[in-house]
Amino acid sequence: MDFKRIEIIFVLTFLALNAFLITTYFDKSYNDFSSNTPNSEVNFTEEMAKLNIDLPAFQNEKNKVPYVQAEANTLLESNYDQLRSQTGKIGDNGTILTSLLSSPILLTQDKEFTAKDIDKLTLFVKSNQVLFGKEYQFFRYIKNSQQVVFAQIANNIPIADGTSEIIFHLDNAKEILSYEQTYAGPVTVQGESRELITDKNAVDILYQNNEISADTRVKKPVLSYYRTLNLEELSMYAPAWFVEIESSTDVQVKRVDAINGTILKVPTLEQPQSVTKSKLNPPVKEDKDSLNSTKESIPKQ
Amino acid sequence: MKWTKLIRPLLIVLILLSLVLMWAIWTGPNQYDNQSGNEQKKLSSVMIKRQLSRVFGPSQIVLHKSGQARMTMKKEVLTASNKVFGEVKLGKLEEPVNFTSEDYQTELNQSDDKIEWLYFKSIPFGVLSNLFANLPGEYQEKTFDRMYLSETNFNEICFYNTADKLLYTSEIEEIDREQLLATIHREGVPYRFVEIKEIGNKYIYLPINEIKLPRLTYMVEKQPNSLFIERLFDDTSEVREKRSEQSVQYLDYISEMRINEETNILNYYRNRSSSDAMPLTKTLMFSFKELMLYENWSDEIHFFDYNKQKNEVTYRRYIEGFPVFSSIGYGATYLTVVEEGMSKLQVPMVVAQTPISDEENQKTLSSGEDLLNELAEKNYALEKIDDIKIGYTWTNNSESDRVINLDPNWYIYTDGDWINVQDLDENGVD
Repeated sequence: MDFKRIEIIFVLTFLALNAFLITTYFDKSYNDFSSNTPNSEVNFTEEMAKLNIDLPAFQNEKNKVPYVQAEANTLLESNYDQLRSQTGKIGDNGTILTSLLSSPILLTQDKEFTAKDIDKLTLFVKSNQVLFGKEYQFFRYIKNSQQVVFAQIANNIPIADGTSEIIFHLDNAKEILSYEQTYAGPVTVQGESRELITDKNAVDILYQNNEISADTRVKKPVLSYYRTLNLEELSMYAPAWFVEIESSTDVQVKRVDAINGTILKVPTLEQPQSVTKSKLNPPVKEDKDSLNSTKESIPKQ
Repeated sequence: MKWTKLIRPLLIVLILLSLVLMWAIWTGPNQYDNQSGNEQKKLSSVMIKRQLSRVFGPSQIVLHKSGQARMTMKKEVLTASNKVFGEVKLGKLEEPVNFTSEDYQTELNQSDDKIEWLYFKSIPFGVLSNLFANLPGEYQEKTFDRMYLSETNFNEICFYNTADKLLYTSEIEEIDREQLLATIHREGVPYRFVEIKEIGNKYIYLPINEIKLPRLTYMVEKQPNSLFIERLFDDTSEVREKRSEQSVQYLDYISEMRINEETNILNYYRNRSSSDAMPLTKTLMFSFKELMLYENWSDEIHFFDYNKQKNEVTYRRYIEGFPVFSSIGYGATYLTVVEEGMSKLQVPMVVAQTPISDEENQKTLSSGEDLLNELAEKNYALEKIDDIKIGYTWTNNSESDRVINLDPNWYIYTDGDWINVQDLDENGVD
């Protein structure tokens, strides 16, 4: 027998076998690595910093908040004639009260909107001159349109979707001549509290879905309620993160459902420039999407 | 010449290298292990924690006192009594004795007060094996659907199988008597007077008076498809999607998941065959593990049925202590498991999450006597009825498909189906 030849055949066979085993080994190591990669936490904060996105100090805590329910009502319509020193008018759908003040509210002479201005308006809202005013609190000031927004507080959280707000319009002399009001009505907590995503999660989701542009400033997200369901007799409000994104030209408002992290595609309520110029837009069209419709945000791969 | 001398050492080196590489591949970290580890972490955040003892626990408690019986289905009482039973220590399970239904009723109506627990379906002792100091293997698969003990004698507990007419007893070695009595007799628990009716060959508790129950309305949420894909497929990269008019199908080479997009009912099938039939206890334990992964109903779930022919376990959703029924399939999860794992699953992807209150909206259900009269008027042969229960009927709300209504109704169990008495026609059953 030619042992030398057999040895050569064995060497060649083992060379081929080892080549296969080495490939398998490295391929496996690579797969192990790649299978871990999607699960490792991506640092969106760093990515956003590179894009010059200015982020606020996040609370980054998981809260638990329940849904709230509001019964359908005509409380504004049935009470607006009680208002003194103003002329009220109820909109066609009976949910928006537009009021022209007999004597304007004069705010401070400071150029900017100040804490004193907030105090003054809060005093007005909490007085008997505004229907159910005690249920509202200052929510935000929109510089571009010179509007001051007060929101109804439900379960210690503002309803910030336009369905229960008071909007004051400032003129150039920092005087308020009119306001519009919507009112959800008394609310009750429904069901058990649900665990929410954090404020940081909400901003990460917006970034992942290209909702935050470069060179912008993200304001601290505010936990709010939005109307998720509107039935004939009642409405249901779900918690949402209200995120303002400031660019050099405008301020955009984004909302993220705080329970399932869905970006809410409802149109942001455009505040009217002036009562005389335009009527208030109808309240935010609540999500009546069917169960099958996709509202989920798709994370960037 | 040098080259020929090198061949042998080279061959030895190559053989050793191949052995080392094979060992490295064999023992190296497994991709699947990593994935499943991560997945487990991911899944745990959305799973509803359930206790085995509650899922297989009783669904009703009946207090027997001076010949009168009162019943509750209150979740809090059942959960609390279950907690007490979780710490009970039982001795040996004695050999069963034949005990007719009449004997059983007579026993319950003895002078001493009795507490009776009713199970929706017979469960094997094996599920409660941890309570027994010594549960002989031969009794592991024996089943019971009633359990009772005397309020004055906490030394003995009895288990009864209403179908086999067998009574099992066991000595109680340890029980928190005070805690149990406080739980059962806690203030404000609604106990309704019931009477036992002999229907067919079964004794069924029915209320003496009319019952008022609330009509419930809930906002529902649909679990995302991705959640089930991640849980049902080992390697999601292999999954292909096929769409048809009403459904979406996800397939890999060994299994299929189909979601009816009209109803949001999910069906899964994986060809896993097993020649050996698993014992009931093992089947229930395996199916319970699977249930935990796929059913996200926030209220109670109870073991409801086991179909031996199909090897199918049914777990039913409960709301406010009552079973939920739906003609479309929103009320239950159906599971088939074999030694290798799950082979079939049907689960509703829609879960009721947030109640919408309307406290004044109540429905009055007939008393037991009136119900039987009603059935008789509709020419329904009572001997064909195997069980009668109150259940909530799931219907979609006309205003929004994100809202459902749950209406209380009487249900009868006949020919293997639960039928809403309200929907019965006048023709009756033979």
